[in-house]
Amino acid sequence: MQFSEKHKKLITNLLLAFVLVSIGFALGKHSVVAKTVNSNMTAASNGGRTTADRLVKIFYMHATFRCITCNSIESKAKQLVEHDFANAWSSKKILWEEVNFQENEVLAKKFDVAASCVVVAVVQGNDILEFNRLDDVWPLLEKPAEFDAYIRDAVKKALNKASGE
Amino acid sequence: MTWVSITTAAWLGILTAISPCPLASNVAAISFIGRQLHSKAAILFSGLLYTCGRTLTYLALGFLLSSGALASGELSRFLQKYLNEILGPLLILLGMILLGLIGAGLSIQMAGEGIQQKASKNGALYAFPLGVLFALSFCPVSAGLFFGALIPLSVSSDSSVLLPALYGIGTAIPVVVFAFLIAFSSKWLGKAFNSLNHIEFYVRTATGIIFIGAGIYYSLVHIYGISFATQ
Repeated sequence: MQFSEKHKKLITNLLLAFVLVSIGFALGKHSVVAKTVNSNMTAASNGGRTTADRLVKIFYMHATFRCITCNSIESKAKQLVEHDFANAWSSKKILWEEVNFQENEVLAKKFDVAASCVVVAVVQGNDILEFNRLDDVWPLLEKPAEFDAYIRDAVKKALNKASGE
Repeated sequence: MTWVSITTAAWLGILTAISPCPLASNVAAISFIGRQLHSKAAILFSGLLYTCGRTLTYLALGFLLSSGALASGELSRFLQKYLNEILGPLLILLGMILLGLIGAGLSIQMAGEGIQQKASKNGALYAFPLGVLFALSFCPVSAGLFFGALIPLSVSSDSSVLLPALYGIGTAIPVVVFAFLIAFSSKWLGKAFNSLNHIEFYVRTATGIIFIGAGIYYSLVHIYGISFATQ
């Protein structure tokens, strides 16, 4: 199919306009002062518990662009925690939070996040007492038993620390 | 360093290439490498340069990160934030050049022929920067496997050169193999129907359209934040 010069010109102009608008949009997006993201956990996000309680908080750190594999890591990890730690989950001793690390730079820096991952932290009130960043979720995704054991062990250790054992 | 770490590094690269998230850039690379139906040598040369571009990029990053010159987290977040946004408009412009919509008169003064004619003649050379560009455009899977698995493996194996290089080769091999398969099946089709010139024209046109399509996709996803079910 051959296009006439008129059609070519129209397509060229439309594509150039799209490119220019996209560049402008991207520049505009970054020039807006980054909104202050409250990196600290709020009382509400801690399930309304008192600040004295030590809890385990699992952060799923993800980029703005969500891929199939990332969603799979999140759902597998969350299902495992809900199932294997049902009591702690229902009593809100374990909390789950999704964080976009491209928006929340404070947490991204604190956890030194390089890619989407799971971070298991012991928290007290708004303070993160300690954390374990689970980078190996990526290579272990193809090995379900090892993936489950990896998450389970990290959560168990965090629960023990939270309960002072 | 053991055979286990060597095979793991290469496997991580292949895993990156076959995962769904870099699909758009891989399709663009396949069409770019495989579009030179007239010559096996040109496809091979193009494929090698693309592989070199990717490999050298990962090797440089691996060396800088393993030696501690750069911080893994900050570099990864920077590349994921900005490179994918640049990639969209850039791919559209490259696609327009490949289709001859722009660039025909840009370098007349310098070399007597336009960018598009140059790209057609010396197209293979452009495979190298394309490899570099696509390697730097980390998607969540490639970032996870490179920064989260390959770099720690390189550090623990004390191999800041070989393992990142093997990872780079692993990311390029599936692309180059597919480029060959598509090029030869297109060429066979052209010969079977005695219309190789027509097939060559369609393949070249398809490459430009694929670049523009991939560029629009990257712009929509990374600049405008639109999500698609197939991500």
